[in-house]
Amino acid sequence: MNTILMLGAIAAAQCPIGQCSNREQGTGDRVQQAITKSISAVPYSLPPVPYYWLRINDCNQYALYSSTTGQQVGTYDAEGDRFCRWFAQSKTWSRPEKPPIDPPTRQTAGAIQKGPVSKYVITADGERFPIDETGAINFGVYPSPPGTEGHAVGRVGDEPRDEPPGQKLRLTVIGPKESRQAVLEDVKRSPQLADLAKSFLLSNFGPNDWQVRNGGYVTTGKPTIYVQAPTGKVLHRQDSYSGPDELAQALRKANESYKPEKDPNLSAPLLGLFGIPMEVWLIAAAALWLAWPRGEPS
Amino acid sequence: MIRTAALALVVLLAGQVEDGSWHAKVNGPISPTGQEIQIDLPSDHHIKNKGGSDGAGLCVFASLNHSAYWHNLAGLQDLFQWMGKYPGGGYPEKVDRMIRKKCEEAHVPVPEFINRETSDLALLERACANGHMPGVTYAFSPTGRYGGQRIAHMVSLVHAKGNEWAILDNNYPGTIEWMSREQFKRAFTGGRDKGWCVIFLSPGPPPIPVN
Repeated sequence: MNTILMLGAIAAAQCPIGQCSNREQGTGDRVQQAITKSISAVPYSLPPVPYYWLRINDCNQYALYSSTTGQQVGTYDAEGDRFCRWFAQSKTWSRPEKPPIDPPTRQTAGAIQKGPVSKYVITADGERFPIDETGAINFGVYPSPPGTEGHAVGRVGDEPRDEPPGQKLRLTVIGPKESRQAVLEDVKRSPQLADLAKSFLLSNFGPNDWQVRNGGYVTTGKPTIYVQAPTGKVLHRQDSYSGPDELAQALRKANESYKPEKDPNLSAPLLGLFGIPMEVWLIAAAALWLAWPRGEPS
Repeated sequence: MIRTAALALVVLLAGQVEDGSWHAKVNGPISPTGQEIQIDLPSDHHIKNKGGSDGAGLCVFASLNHSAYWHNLAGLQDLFQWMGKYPGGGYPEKVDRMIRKKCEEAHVPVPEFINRETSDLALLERACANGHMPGVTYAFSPTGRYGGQRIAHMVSLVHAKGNEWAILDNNYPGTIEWMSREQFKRAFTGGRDKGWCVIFLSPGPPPIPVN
């Protein structure tokens, strides 16, 4: 009786790799080709991890392969949450043990295509991304599910805005939260500021925020308020706030005095060789051709 | 003979600049021709992509988190971390849904954003010129990352000026990949007629103050 119980226990401990009628072992040529392709498809210039999973059948069983030898190392049964090591020389399985890397989780439809073999790419830090049926590594972009395409997206308010706003004057408030809040509330609600401020791009930051920490901004005001042209030219700065009237006056002056056509363009792109447009090169070439002296000089 | 050679040399040299193949390289925030990057998100704000609760990747939300940092969007600066508890993968309607859900949970207004498939590269150029950081689809790497294999990915567009375009890839934080306009277009559309972009319409950081 004890022998029977012991044999039963050993049998239960064996990996149930033979129990799925739809199985493919890691020794078939077709799967071996997939392995080889998968190894060569590991794309990262990061150091490779030594193992990777391949789903081998529809019964949620996964083979573990060594990416250095290409040989099967073991098999994981996701249904029973069991991993057994495969000993190729003796063609035997180990008792259930912990896999050398985290076993794959059950995949939901849409994330991994069903089929006899699915593939992953595993990064050096253990992240796992699927290779889809087209052979593309998918880092998280999927087609819209059927029936959802074309739904209104990205629309807020009555009028959808489809274009980034043009270049406006900047109104930037920097300082402790309480001092900024007073300004922001007035910009939102006060009759002197609400309409006027709409023609500015408004931002607000704490004094240690990365946007203003190292850029040469004065961050010690309570608050500091900047009005700038899109080029960065400071049109107005105040280091305290005494109410909406003073700020409204400054905004009005900045708006009136700013002439965008006078902005210097220090970062104009250079088109063509040495910054000269290609059309000019071609005209110059034609002129050179016509002007070049003909025949030998006497 | 000399005239012919001079003409050929001029045309050849001028034509060289139009061929972007020599542009594609991984570099820092300065372009191969010395231009300063348009959207310079500090590297300590770069995010490394990973999977959601079901293992599907979160590149879309990594890219949008980069944009949330850039545009200083309250309630969305932990979007990537928050998405970790949900299944991964992104598509336009899901982006719309999850941004609204996140803003609702954070009790902040939903920011305005463009979320659409387009072939209009000029839209992306204007976005970067006006200080916006688009999230854009990416079907392969012109510099040979990923072994030249096709990918289904979203990255952040950080420079789009003339023939110099650049992306911040959330699988390679801390680096900037530079390429020509044509190379970007092929990577963005992946051989289809359109790519997908998401652009927040809030302003980016203010410019450096000058007198």
